Order: sequence, then C-alpha cells, then structure tokens
Amino acid sequence: MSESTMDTIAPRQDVAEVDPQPGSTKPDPILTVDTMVRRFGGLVAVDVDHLEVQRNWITALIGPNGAGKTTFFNLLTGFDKPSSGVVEFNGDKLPEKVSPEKLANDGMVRTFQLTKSLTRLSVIENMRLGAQGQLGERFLPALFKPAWSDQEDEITTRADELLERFNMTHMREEFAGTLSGGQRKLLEMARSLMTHPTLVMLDEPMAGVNPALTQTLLEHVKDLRDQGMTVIFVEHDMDVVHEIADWVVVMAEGRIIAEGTPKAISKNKAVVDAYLGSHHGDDLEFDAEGNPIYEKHRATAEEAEIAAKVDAELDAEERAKREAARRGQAAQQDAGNPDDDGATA
Amino acid sequence: MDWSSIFTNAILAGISREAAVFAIAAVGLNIHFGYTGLLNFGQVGFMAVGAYGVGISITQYNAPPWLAFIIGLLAAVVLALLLGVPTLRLRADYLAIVTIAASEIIRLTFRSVALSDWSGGSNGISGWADGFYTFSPFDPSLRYGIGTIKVFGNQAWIIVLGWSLAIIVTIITWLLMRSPWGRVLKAIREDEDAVRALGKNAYFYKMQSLVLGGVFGGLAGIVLSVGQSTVQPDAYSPPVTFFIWTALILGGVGRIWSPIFGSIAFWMILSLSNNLLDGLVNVGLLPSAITAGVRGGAVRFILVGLGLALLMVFRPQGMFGDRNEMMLEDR
Repeated sequence: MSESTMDTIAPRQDVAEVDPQPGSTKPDPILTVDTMVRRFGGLVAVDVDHLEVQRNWITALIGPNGAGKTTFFNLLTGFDKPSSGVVEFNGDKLPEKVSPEKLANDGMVRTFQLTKSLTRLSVIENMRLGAQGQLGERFLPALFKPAWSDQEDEITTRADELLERFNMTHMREEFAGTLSGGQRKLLEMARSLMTHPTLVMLDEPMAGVNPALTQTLLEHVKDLRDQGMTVIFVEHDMDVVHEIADWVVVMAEGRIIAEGTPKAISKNKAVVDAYLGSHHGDDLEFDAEGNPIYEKHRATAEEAEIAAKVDAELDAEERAKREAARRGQAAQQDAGNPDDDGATA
Repeated sequence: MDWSSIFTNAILAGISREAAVFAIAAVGLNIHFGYTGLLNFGQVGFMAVGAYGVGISITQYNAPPWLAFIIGLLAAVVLALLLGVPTLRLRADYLAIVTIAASEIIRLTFRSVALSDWSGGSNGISGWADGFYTFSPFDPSLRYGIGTIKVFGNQAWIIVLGWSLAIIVTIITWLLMRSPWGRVLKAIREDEDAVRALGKNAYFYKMQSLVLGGVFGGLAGIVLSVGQSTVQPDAYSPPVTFFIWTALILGGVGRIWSPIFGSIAFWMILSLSNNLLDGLVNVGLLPSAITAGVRGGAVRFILVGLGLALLMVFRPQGMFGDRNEMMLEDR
C-alpha cells in the first residue's frame, strides 16, 4: 500500500452530504438497483424500489433474520434471478439474466455466508484459481505448458503477495480443508481479491470468527476501501458495522426501510421497530372480542422517517408523561392480581 | 495345485485387452468423477455408441477404418452433449440417473428387433474389424510373449494397441490435470458456486469434462469391439460400468495412474480367485459344489466383493490415493 494511493482516497466526509433516506441518491454510485422484486410463490422475499451504492464506501447491509439480505445479495451477484428489476453496475445496465461468472469478470466478486473453501485444493491453488483470463484454462492451450507457464508464474507471484498480506504464507501448500473456520474466511477473501474486483460483496464475513481474528478481518476490509474498492457486506454484529461501515442500509421484510450513517441508524425508529417489533414499549390493545391487536400499524419507510424525526423532537417531559402513565397502568394491573397483591402490600 | 498356470493366467488377465479397455474407460470415468465430481453411472453407454459407431459405419456405409474410428468417437461426443445439456445445470444426482438410464436405452435400442437390419439385433454385427488388423505387425498364426505367457498375433496386436491408447489417454489426462484447466475441474468438484463466483463458467467446464471422459469411454468401446471383431449389445450391459468403477476405486479416485493399475489389479484378482478356487477344489480342499456349473462364477464374485468391502474399510483411498486428502471430504 503506497502512500500516494492513500492520498488519493478522499476521507469519507461526503457521508454528510448524502440524504439519509431509503433510496437516496449518491454522488457517484457504482451500483444502482431499481424496482427489484423476487417472489418465492406468494412470498415477496425482496422488494427494493431504489438503492444506490456509493463507490469506494463500505456499505453495510443489515436487517433482522429473514429480512431478505442474502436473497438480495444472491440477486445482485447473479446467483438468483429477480422476478423483475433493473441493475446498473459501473454505469452499465446489466441484462435481465446475468451469470455470476460474467459479473466476476466485470469486477463484482462475492464471498459466501458458509465459507466455500475448495477443500482438496491447496491454499495456493485456491488463490491461483481466482485469477481471470487465464490462457491455461482453455482446453487446447492447457495441454501445452509453455503456453501458460509464464502467466502462471505471474499469477503465483500475485497470489503469494496476497497470502503474505493475509498472513497465510505458512499455509501455502496445505489443503484448504485443513484450515480453521477463520482462516477459511481469510482465504476466501484473499482469493476473491485475485479477480481484481472493483466491488467486493461479503456475505457475513465475520460469522463464526473468533474476536481476535475479527479485528484482522476488519482491517483487511478497511484496506480494500483504501485501495479504491467498494465493499458491500451483510453483517449481524452491530459493533462490526459501527467500526467499519461508512453507510448502513437496513432491510426488513424484503424492503429497504432505512439508510444512513452507522451512528444515525441505531437511533432510527424504523430500524429499532424492525428489530424489536413496532409495539415494543407500547401497551397491547384489544379489539371488541378481547383479542390483542398485533398488526394495527406497520411503519412504511416514509412514516418511519417522519417517526424518527418526531421522536427526536419528543421532549423529556413528553416521555416522562408516558412513563408515568405506564407505571400507573402497571400498578392498576398489579392491584387486579390477587397473588401479587399480598406480596406487594 | 498348478501354481505356475495360476500365475500365468493371472498375468494374462492383467495384461488382457479387457484390462486395457477397462483402463481406458476408467481414465474417462476418472476425469468425470475423480476430477470433476460428475457421477457418471453409464460409462458403458459411451463404450456402446463408440463401438456401434465404428461397426455400423463400416458395415452399412463402407467407411474406411480411420473414418469409422472418428465416427465412433464423434458418437460419444454427441451422447455426452445429449446427456449434459439438460442435466449439468442441475445437481450431480440428475446426471447419475440420466446416464444409467441412457446406457440401458442405448443397449436395448441397438438390440431391438426393429433395428436389426441396421445394428444386427441381439446378435450384433460381426466381421467388420479386419481393416483394423491390416496395420498389425504381428503374424496371426504365431504366438508372441515371454516364457509361458504367450498370445496369438492378432491378440497381441490388440493388447499393444489397447495399452498404448491407455497410456496415451493417461498422459493426456496428466497434461490437462496439471494445467489451470484441470484446476478449474478440481475446483468444480469441490464447490461449483465458488468457481462461478470467481468468474468461471462451471457449466461449460463440466460439459468439456463430460465430453472428454465420454470420448475416452467411446475409445474403450472401439478397442473392445475391434478386439472381439464383433459388436454385440449385451457386452455393453450395466455391470460393465460398475466393474469399471470398481477398477477406478481400486486404483484410487482422482489419481493419474490409478485407472491403469486399478484395471490390472481388478482383472488379476478375478483370475486369481477363479483359478485358486478351481485349484483348491481339484486338490480336495474345497467341496466341488462350490465351483460346479454357474455357481463358480458367483462364488468368485462373492470373494471379490468381500475383498473390495475390506479394501473400503482398511484402504478407502485405493492403491494410489491419499487417505488424508480423502478424509477432508467429510469436513
């Protein structure tokens, strides 16, 4: 990593210039998604109206389980076909049916939630596989070693540099299947870099990795940005998101419900609702037959935004009043309960 | 017991044209299963279309041997494409189902009465292979060999031809598998999606692998039918596929030389077990009921099966495999 490259990378002060709205426009999007829908029978797994991913940022994609993050990832990387939708990558509109291999050739590479190390290939062979445009991967030239040995040497040099950077040189000749879970994550990330990507998509890069190695992985992800790559990653660990993400996109029930900086997003009401349910802290309401009403109101993205603003403006008095009311009701309930009565009295 | 004839027979079986044929077909299977992870349970189907391709083009269309040979190989290419196009995008199991069914469909089609003018029905077609013997440097009336291990000229020609081809296809496989092309195949065997994510068209590579291994299967079928001077449908029945699998596993899956040595070992073990049983019966150590009539063959296969089961327990990697590498699969 030379200093000159460091200098050319602007710090992410432009984060402040972007409107923290779901589907907001970015100054220089590398990836633009429009009206992407994926249905599994009657279930709408992904329904994204508009999303732009800023070039050279680390964008985190978060959301509760079943929010459609991985499905969305698969749609973007060509491993699944959307029911409808338009994707623009690097300014080019992608065809409706696009294969993962085509996207990888164009510079979009991904890793997997369940690490896919090629078990019975050595670490260095895993790495070499990542290189693009290898003459020796064509059938007839493959038969004649002189045709591809020079290119192979170049690839090996580059692979060794990457292994060095990821501290895996000592494992070079080992079968990938003998690596630990964390080392496999490292290998998969290093291998994906062999493709010379411009956009790196990491599906839960930290899952199942011990905390010490998490730090290493985080540094590597930051390195990618510093080298001019764009990173999108799915993650559950909010500490990780806070530490490295420039921008956070939140999904729930297939939709994008919020966008913003990590700091702002953890205070966003729509996000908190998505994770904890929109009625947390509220009293249950009952209909005429005495059944609780669960889904009276679900915040849409716009409403959530308004709600977030309103929340911010709520003064302490208001909150205290609500608190007092709740306490009063709790006391009433307690009074109605004969068992508790004796204990509290 | 006549030990010298038992061993002579074992060596003759080990170098026989059948062993060479199995070796060539097992090289193809090794490319499919050992390197690409494709489950082909119909290798005998490729052998059949190769053999019939040669036989029919000579008897029906008077093709010269070299052209018939190419047609036989092209027939295997066509079969590979037919099987691969619909199944290779699906999970591995589908190819297994389709190949085993296809190999039976092929046999029954060539065997059918309706096509008997063309493919000779259940008798097959014979008397067309002479053209392949005109290149033979051996005198058909003389016996060639070392010591007591001798074969007639024509047989010697097929043995030389068969093993030369077996070594050639093995070398081709070796050249390919050390190349980046082979690396992609091996990676597909491990995880297809990872390969696709790295920008390789896994489907295309699987197709290439299926075609190449299928062509080697077709080549094996041609050698077999030329050696027998006839192409007969029931020589291409499903058990042949599984004997080839046995030879491959015996040698060790995914190893360059395992098809050749696995095949030699397979035929030697069959011959040894047969002759040993006969010998033990002759000297009165075993009751004659064991080898009487058709039971002899059955007992022989029981012993071979038992031996293979023990091999799987104590040496699952075969003769050439690496046990540590093999155990990685389970993780």
